Formats: sequence, structure tokens, C-alpha cells
Amino acid sequence: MLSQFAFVGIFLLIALFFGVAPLIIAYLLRPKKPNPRKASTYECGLEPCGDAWVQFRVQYYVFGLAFVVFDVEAALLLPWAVAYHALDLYAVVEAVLFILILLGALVYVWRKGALEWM
Amino acid sequence: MEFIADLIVNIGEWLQGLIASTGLSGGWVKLIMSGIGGFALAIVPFAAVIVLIWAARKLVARMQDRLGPNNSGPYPGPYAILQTFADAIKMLTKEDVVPAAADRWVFNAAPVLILTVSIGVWAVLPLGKGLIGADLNIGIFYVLSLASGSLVALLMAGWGSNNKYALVGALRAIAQLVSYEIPQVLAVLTVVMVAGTLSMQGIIEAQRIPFLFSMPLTALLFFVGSLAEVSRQPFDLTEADSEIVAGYMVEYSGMKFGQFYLSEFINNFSLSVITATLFLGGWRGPFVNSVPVLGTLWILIKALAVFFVLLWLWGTMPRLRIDQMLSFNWKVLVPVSLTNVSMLALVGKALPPDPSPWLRAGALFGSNVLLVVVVLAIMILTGRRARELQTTAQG
Repeated sequence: MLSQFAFVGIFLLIALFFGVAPLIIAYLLRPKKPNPRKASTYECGLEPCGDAWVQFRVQYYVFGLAFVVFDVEAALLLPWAVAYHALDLYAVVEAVLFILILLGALVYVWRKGALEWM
Repeated sequence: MEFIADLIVNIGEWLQGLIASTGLSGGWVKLIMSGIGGFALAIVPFAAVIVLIWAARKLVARMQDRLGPNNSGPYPGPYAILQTFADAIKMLTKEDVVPAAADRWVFNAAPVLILTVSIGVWAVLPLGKGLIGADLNIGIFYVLSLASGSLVALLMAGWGSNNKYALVGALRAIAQLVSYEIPQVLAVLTVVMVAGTLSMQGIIEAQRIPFLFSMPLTALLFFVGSLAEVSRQPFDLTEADSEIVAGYMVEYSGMKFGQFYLSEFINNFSLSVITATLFLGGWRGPFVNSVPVLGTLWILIKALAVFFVLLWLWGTMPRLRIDQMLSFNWKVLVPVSLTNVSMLALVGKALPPDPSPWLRAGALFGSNVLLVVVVLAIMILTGRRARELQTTAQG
């Protein structure tokens, strides 16, 4: 198994090479004629107005928080799923109760109105 | 004949013998073989994508009653088959404009990272019987974790560009990818639960009956989730060229844009292969045991069928709004997939010990169909009530 992981490491290095190679080829081939107008920030052809870091909805954070809950749950349940055939009914019911508690959390978020896009 | 029957594995063994005959030690032979194998494996998605971009443009054009790249006009090659190469040359020779306000390092690292991640997935994709880069015991988990890497790349692109459109597009993309990861992961969880392993080859071997037939709802949840993960229509609102001018890609030009485009298509094709692996039985098919190389053909056919469905959606579906996209996920997909996981877990344990594959598949299929009926009933009823409330409010 360790040599398999070594292959994945080597493969990721090769993938990184394939990610960088197009940029190197492009660097050798492309023209370079910079001017300040070209390098200005694109805003549909107008002069950029104000700071680019505009305010955005706080709701993105709410969805981010809800995501963390469910993703941690999934990461926690994956080992359970691998062992599923060896488990007895008791362990399976426990995991289902765990899922139902999180479903309760989803219902709470829903009732609080955090899922409505305002 | 025997050489051809297991062609690719035999070529590998022949090459290994060739390197070993030069008198290098075992470790070096292994290292060189990993290098050559990895290089060949990394070429596969590129080669596939060069053909698939052309095929996608042709097919979508036909669906929308256009011609697409064709014999006439400036297109190179018969049926414009060389168009992708012409595009690549154009992108390579275009000037690279980095906005003065951008964070140079983050801005340049994003396209490299996104392409690295989308090729990196191919290390664990099974391409035939005994033909896989590395049959990790955490194969599908590796795929899911690399998918989060592309999310980081999108945020880097959006934030590093220092542009309003890019920032808004990146935030939309994050909200979408993060949300739809949940039904996708939960569908994978169901598959892992039934197969009892995380290894990709193990999941294929567990499918005497393809999981598409025993768990159709799970397959649908996975497909919709992954559709959003790769930002394919109807979930292409991360790019939305008509609203936020291509979102996080807006400041990229030349080959850097090309890398985003390439990684998008590579992701689409990887998604097709992963769907074929998880739900369509991968390389399983007639005559695979006697002629293993046929497995590569079967998985290719299955993956191309999934890819065709992607193109079909591309050609037909309009774009969703962001509120529709998010509420569809959180109010429909997430509760349904949570219920699906718990229901299938209980049904699997309610069966007598060591059930026959047909009994197990039948029970899983029955509970899936039951869940679909219940969900449709709830959706129809709530929809009707919402319409009634609307009419009373108007009247």
C-alpha cells in the first residue's frame, strides 16, 4: 500500500508539471507589450470605480457554516460505512440517530429562515 | 494473442523487464516505472479532452440547430477536427495581461493549482481490469478531497484578481460547490456502505448488479451534485457570462484562461469516469475475464454515455438563479440524501444475514422507489399549497 501512495505522490508531481508546462510554453511564445491601460482592472470598459473588495451577502457565511456541519458528519460516517457489513444493528441504529439529529439541525436552520435568499 | 488480450498491462511488464535488464536495483526500476506510468496516465485526460472539446462543440451545436465547427470557412482539418489544436496555439501565443491591482502570486498560482488538481484525480481512476494508477484503499475519498482543492483555486482566482466581478463570481462558485458537495458526498457514502470499501476497484467488484439499477435515487443525487461541482449547465451560474462576465475567470487571458477551460473539461470527463465507476459497473462487461483489455473499452463506452448526458443538459437547460440553486440544494437534495442514507442503512440490516445479491438489490431498489414517491408527493402538495396561497393573496 505504501508504494501505491508513493505512486500518488509522483503522479501529483507530474500533474504539477503538466499544470506549469503550458505557462512556460506560453511564456516563450507570447508577445509582451504592456501599457497601463491594459493592466487596469476590467470593468466592462469603464474606469474602475472604488475598491474591488465590495461588500457581499453575509448569507454566504451561513451556508458555509451549515456546510461544515454536514461535511464533518460525512467524514465521520465514512469509516462507519466501510465497516457497515461487519456492524450489528445497534451500531447502525446509532449512526442513523446521529444523522437524524443533524437533520433536526437542518430543520432548525430552515425554520430560522437562514435558507431564504433575501 | 495472449499479449493483445491484456495489452496495456503486458506492455508495462515488458517495459519493466527492459529497464530491469540494464542492471538497476529494484527500487530504481520501480521509480522509473512509476514515472513512465504516471506520465502516460497524465496524458490520457489531455488526449481525451482534445477530442471531447471538438465533439462537445459539434454535438451541442447540432442540438441547438447550428452547424458548429464544420468544413467551411476558416476551420482547419476535415470536419474541423483540428480546431482544438488551433485554439491551443492561439492561446499559447496570446499576450498575458496581469492587472496591476492583482495579487501576482495568488493570481498566477490559481490556474496551475486547478489544472494540477483535476489531473491529480486520475491517479485513482480505474481504466480497466487491473489497470489503475494506484488502487488506494481510500480511493474515492482521495477523489473527494482533491475536489476541495479546486475550490481553493477558485477562491484564489477570485480574490487575487482584485476585481468586483471576479470576487462575486468566486463567492457564488464557493457557495455552489460547498453546498452541492453534501449530496454528492452522502451519495458516495451510500455507495461505500453497500460496497463495503473505499477502493475504486473494490467498488467495481462489488457491483454484480450495477448500483444504478439497485439505487437509482442515489445515482441521481450523485449526478446532480457532481453536475454542480463541475459547474455544468443548469448550474453554470459561477461563470454566467451574461451576468458577471465569466465570474472568477474575468481577468485571465491567454493560456491561463486556457488552463481553466481545460480543467473544466477534464473535470467533466473525470466526472463521467467516476459516475461510470460508482454506478454503471466500471469495466465490468461481457468477455472481460478472458480478454481484460475489453474492460477499458467498456468503461470508455459508459463514461462517454455519461458525458453525452452532460452535453445533452448543456444543450437544453437554462441557467438557474442563485436563490433557486441554493434552496434546491438545502431544501430538497440535502434532506433527501440524509433520509436516503439512513433508510438504506436500516433496510440493509433488516435483510436476513448474507442475502443473495438479487434480494439485496431488490430491497434497495424498493426503498429507493418508495422514497422517490414520498418526496414527489410532498413536493406536489407543498407546490399546490403555495399556489393556493398566492391566488388567495391576489384575490
